[in-house]
Amino acid sequence: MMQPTSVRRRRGERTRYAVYAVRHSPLSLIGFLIVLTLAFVAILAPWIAPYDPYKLSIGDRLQPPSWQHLAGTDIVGRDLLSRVIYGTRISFLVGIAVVTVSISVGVVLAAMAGFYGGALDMVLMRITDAFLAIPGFALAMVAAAVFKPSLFNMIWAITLVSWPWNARIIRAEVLRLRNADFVLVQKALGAGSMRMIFLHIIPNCMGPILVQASLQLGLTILASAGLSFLGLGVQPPLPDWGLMVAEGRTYLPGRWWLVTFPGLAIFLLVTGFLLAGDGIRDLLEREVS
Amino acid sequence: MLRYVLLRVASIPLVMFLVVAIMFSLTHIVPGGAIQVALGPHATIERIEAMKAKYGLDKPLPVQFFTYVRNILRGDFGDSIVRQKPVISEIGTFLPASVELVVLATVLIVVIGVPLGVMAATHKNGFLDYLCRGIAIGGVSLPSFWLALMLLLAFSFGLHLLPTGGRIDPSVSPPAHITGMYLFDSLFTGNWAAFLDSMRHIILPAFTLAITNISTTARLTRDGMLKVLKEDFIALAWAYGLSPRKVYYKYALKNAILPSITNLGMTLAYLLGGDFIVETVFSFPGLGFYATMALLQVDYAPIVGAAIIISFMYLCTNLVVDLLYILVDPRIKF
Amino acid sequence: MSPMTMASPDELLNVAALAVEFRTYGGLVKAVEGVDFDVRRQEIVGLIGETGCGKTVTGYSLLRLIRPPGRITRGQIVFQGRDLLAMKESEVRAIRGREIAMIFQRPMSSLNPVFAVGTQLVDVIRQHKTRDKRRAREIAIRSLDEVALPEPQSIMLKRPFMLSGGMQQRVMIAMALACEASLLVADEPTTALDVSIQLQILKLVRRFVENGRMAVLLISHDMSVIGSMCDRINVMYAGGIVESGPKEGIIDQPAHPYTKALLEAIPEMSQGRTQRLRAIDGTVPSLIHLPQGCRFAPRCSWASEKCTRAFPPRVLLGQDHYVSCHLYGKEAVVQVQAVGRSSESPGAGYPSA
Repeated sequence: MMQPTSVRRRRGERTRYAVYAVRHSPLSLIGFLIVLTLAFVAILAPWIAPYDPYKLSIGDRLQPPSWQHLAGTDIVGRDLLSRVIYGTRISFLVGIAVVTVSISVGVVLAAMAGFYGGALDMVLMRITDAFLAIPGFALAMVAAAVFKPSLFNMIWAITLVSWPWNARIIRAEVLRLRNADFVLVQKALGAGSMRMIFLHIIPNCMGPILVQASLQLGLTILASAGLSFLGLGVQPPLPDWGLMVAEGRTYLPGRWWLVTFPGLAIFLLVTGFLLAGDGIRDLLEREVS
Repeated sequence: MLRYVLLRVASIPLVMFLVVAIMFSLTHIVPGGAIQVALGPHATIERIEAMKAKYGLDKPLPVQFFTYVRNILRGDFGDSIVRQKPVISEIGTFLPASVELVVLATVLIVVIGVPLGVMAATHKNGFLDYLCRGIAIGGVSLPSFWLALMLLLAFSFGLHLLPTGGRIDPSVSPPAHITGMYLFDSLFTGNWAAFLDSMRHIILPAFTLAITNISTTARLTRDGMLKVLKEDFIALAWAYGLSPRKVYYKYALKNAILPSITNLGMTLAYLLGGDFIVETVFSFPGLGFYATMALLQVDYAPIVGAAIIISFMYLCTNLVVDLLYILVDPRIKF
Repeated sequence: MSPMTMASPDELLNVAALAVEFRTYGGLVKAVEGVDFDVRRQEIVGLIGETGCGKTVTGYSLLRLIRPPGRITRGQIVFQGRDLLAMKESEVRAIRGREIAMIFQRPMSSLNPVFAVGTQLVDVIRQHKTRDKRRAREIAIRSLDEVALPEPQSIMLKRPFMLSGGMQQRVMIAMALACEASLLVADEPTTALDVSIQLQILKLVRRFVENGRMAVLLISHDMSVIGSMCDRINVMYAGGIVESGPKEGIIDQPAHPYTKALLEAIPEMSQGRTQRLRAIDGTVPSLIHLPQGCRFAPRCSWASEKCTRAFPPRVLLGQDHYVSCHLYGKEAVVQVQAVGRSSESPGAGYPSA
């Protein structure tokens, strides 16, 4: 099998690869575009949203989509479109927070476990296995319920569930790289373990980390929507998409817009992240072949 | 190889111990909880303390943990504080429904996902391929509760084809209890009416559960096929003029399906877990529904019990799947 | 068409002006450019060249196994009077295995690991010879016996990884025999095998050729294998054939500088340990940006200005012996200084036309 090579070089050629890969994978391009667009929506929410998402207007409640309210209004008359737009912020917030923490923790733990091996590795792996054995959603639910359900606690709950996946994947990568030639070269040059882990091994794991990050962003948003739907996550009156679906559920089948639009938003953003993650993964695979 | 099997079997208790520890820690970080719910907001301090003593919640944590583990090994998962009933018997009533649901979902996944993946691979970059990949992404991104609601909207409220929830119509009596799984029991006893009605109730939740994983399975099968199709022995098959059908479905598929089998293990985990939302939306009385209700009432014993049972099932199924793997490809040595 | 004008009844395969290209992110790779050769009955024809010269691609083209991003752009492959490139896919499928069989470089990966060897043999035989399972089994066992595999019945039940490399290669040959193919394309059949096994396999193949069972196109980079086995040899470089002719002609009187270098590169037993191995300087040119003139010119010790400018025409040197080099033929460029390793000027031994 070919020796894994260090990625810290060859920039011109990599751009050429990237262009070629993207051209041959329009789906991932769409993914990136979706994510970027929605990111802009989140940032520019106050300027884009037609109404204040928290503003009650009982007289206008439960209106179907119209020119005045493009997505209709909810039970207390709040404009649904504005709430969906502001919901983008919450989704990105949760996603980025969870992924950042869980990847950082997972990477550090896994890198050390994979690199040092031995007892440390064994212990960490057993713990990871245990976390992985518990159905993820159940664990998240319990964690979210134990600490009073809120946006903040939900983030921690999902992080708790996510880190084992990252740890496992990164560990596999580290194991693969540990015996690669370029690592041995560094060792021969006298590099210390910490230096090797942080300067050489982790940067070369960047690929799988990126793939995992983007996939996890998608799954996190799904999880947070699910938890909020069950009442274990974001609490009213925050405009979280999952929460909105739960709120609208009681008015089915008549007021379909209450459930459809937030759901579509979730679907769109998650699709974006997953497609983008796929694209990055394809890019990496092309590099190898 | 025997060594490997024994090692794996032995690791299960170890991992389960950790699982119990994790669940215990989580639920006992915040004390009280369900007791408040059970006794109501006006309970006096004495009554709360009395209840705590009754459930042994006033003893130091390590003692509680030890007692808890010991009880579990005896099959005692504690009682539901809210309903005052032993968790283990409640789980007994709800478990078969979940098992049935998950099994049906798995069957759907394999029967629809694998051929889809093969077709995507054989028509690479064709319309079917992009369709499959599109569904693959779409399937995973669909929030299960949303999909459930949409399906309900369409089939129940819209077309009035299927019921909106529950497991069986109140007007139809459930089949004789053999396994507790209505579909199986009714088939076994020839109770056609019960079978049809149970199927009507279970098909939407099963399908909702399946959709996410149909896409993943299809994609894995596709990826596996594409990888295998590059192998030398496939080139040889082409070089000897074997028909495309034979090359794809006999020579390639058997090799390609291995990653899908591994994924099956993870799929089952997801199903067992994702159950919670689907069962809640469809009011399907399975383990997930039971646990979710308990959680919303902050009644820990049921959810912990359910989580432990599910984890155990997951570990066992994983072991079985891994062993299956060895059977299919005898090259794998440990 | 091959300069050997009309197709003799002896002629099994005639390849003319074959060109294959591959579309990659780096550009258009012209793997094969204008290749002509032929194979007659009961002979072993060699195709020799370095890795990347296009010989394997040529082999694959014969069975029309080139897939996108590769494409056969030009040429004719006439097998027993019919142009394979003009046929429909279904017609070609009937030829694959039945008339032209192929064995690959790595026998260990050529057989499907999840099926028994017998299953694969039977599948192939049922595709081409007989639908009847039992009959097919008999034929399979008989073929395994013919390639000197002990206990053919038990071999039938074995999975490929249970057999050694040599045994696996024998199974491959048995497959070709079972289908009674008239032409065997052997792509580096012994490269992945131990030296001692190599000899056995080669002898086995030669025996079948001599018995009239098949003709062989032997593709290899190993001059010693080619030299010992082949009746006629084609030397390939960077997508084209630079020299072709009967074995004695090529080995004893190599004309093209590349052929000479290849022969000189073979270490001799008598060489002595202090003598350096003679490698050919330089590397194979990029198949995307091929030089305008002779492709070997950048590495050729006898290269002249004309060599870099113009593509050398094909010249007949003698008994069926052709070469594409500016040093020969009517417009030969005569080199006075031989800055090479050989003291002889390359044109020696041949009458100037």
